[in-house]
Amino acid sequence: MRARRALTLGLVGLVGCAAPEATVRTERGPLLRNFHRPVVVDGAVTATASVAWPNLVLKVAGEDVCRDEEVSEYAEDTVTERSVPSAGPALSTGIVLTLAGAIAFGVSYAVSNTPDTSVIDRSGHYGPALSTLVRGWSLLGVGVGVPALVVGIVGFLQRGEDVRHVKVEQIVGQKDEPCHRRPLSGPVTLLGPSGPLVSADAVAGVASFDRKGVTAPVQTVSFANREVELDAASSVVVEAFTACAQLEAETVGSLAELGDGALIARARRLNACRSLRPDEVSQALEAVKEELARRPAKSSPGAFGPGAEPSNFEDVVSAYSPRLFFELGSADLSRLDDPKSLTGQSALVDGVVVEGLSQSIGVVKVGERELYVFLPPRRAWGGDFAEGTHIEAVVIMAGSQTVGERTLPLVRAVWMRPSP
Amino acid sequence: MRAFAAVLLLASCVGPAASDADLCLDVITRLCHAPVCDETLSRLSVDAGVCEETLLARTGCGAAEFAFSSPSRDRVLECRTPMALESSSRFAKPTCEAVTEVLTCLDVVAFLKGGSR
Repeated sequence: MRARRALTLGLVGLVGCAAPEATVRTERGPLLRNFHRPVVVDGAVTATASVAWPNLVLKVAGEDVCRDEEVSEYAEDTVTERSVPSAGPALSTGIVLTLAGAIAFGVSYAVSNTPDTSVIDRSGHYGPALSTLVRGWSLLGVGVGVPALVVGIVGFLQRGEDVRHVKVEQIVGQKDEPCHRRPLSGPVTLLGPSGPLVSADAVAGVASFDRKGVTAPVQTVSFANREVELDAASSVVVEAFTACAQLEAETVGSLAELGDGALIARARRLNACRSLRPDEVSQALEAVKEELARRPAKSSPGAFGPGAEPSNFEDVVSAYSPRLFFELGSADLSRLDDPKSLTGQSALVDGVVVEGLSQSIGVVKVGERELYVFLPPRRAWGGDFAEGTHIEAVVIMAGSQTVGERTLPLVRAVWMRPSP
Repeated sequence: MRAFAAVLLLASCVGPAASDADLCLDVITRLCHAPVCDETLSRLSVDAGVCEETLLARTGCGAAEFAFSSPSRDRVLECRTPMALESSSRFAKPTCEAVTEVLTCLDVVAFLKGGSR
């Protein structure tokens, strides 16, 4: 019983010596069919903005993406090949040694059985008879040969391959369309540079914000912690509303008391607000322009005096006193139709870097307009102003420039920084 | 099964126990292997030319029925060890150092000189 158990354990151990190596390969079969599969995935939250002064009204809507997937279905075979590299050598070794052992065992009965009397060892025994020697070697041969034979046979039995037939799909095309548009109800928040400004609950997709909560520029709008996408027109409306709200909160005594920078900032807000409340701000805007015109122009734009270097954007604004404002919705943008007439004037640009043509010149987009911008020294498009960067810059108009087939207004940047 | 295999393997390296007569002859053949060591000649008082014959005659080992009594077989095996370590063949000449060591066994020397059986 113990011997049988030992034999079983031994065979199990030997099977471990013949562990198969598996190689899996996939073979693509013929095309079975093509079909279309409709899929609905989560889409964006969008909003359109309008103003019913003193309120900003956002119409918030959610939508899904209805996707039409074009699917090709193929037959595919997954082939698993099992091989035991040691099976061949083990089998041949096993056959040779087992046969040799068996033959030697048989031969041992045909050779001399007389001990070797010329030899007596330390313990007083003769040397072994030739038959005994042959029998011992035969046992050794069988002892090594049989396990090798088992390993070889097991290895050969384990060889083979399994083929699994499956169908696989490959999406070869898809077409997305917004669908299931629906008004959303829930919390809507306007977020400024330093966090939430004001929140309101949207009811049946409509949320209304009072101007008093808007104390800083609105950068993003969120609905239930999801960013709300505003179209271009709505972004202009929100920016204009922000400007109007800030103007309402400002208390200005005499314009003459304002510094150049503050005066220009007010002019920018008035300019932006004019699209919403032209009647209310036109007069104030004219007053600011008059004040700007009244102030003596710098003899040389950007002159800081001997040895003085501008250290920040505000200093540069103050020094150059820009009279032109190129920003989204600005009326001055139309003046870019004749850039030569503006040559030498300073301007404030608020736009997005869309292209870096070289180390020192790139394209900045303001609304639908594009400008070639020469960068200040020691700045680089790739490093400081990568494509997509929202920037603001004080520039000097320098006519127009043709690069390739494109002719655009050219400006020389005096100071440029990423827009907050 | 395992015990049988082990015994078979061990048995293939060793034969049956040698007879006392062959063991005695083995010792005498080794001691008298030419050139005979001086220690053999002096301690056993034999002539080199007839060493083996003399010792066989003294001990009676030539008879097939010979059996050790004193010294015993084990004692002879023990004293023979230095020569057996050098070779298990009785036709291999032992070194004179081994012979000298064997001849330190006084009872074996007395046996070879014909003093006892």
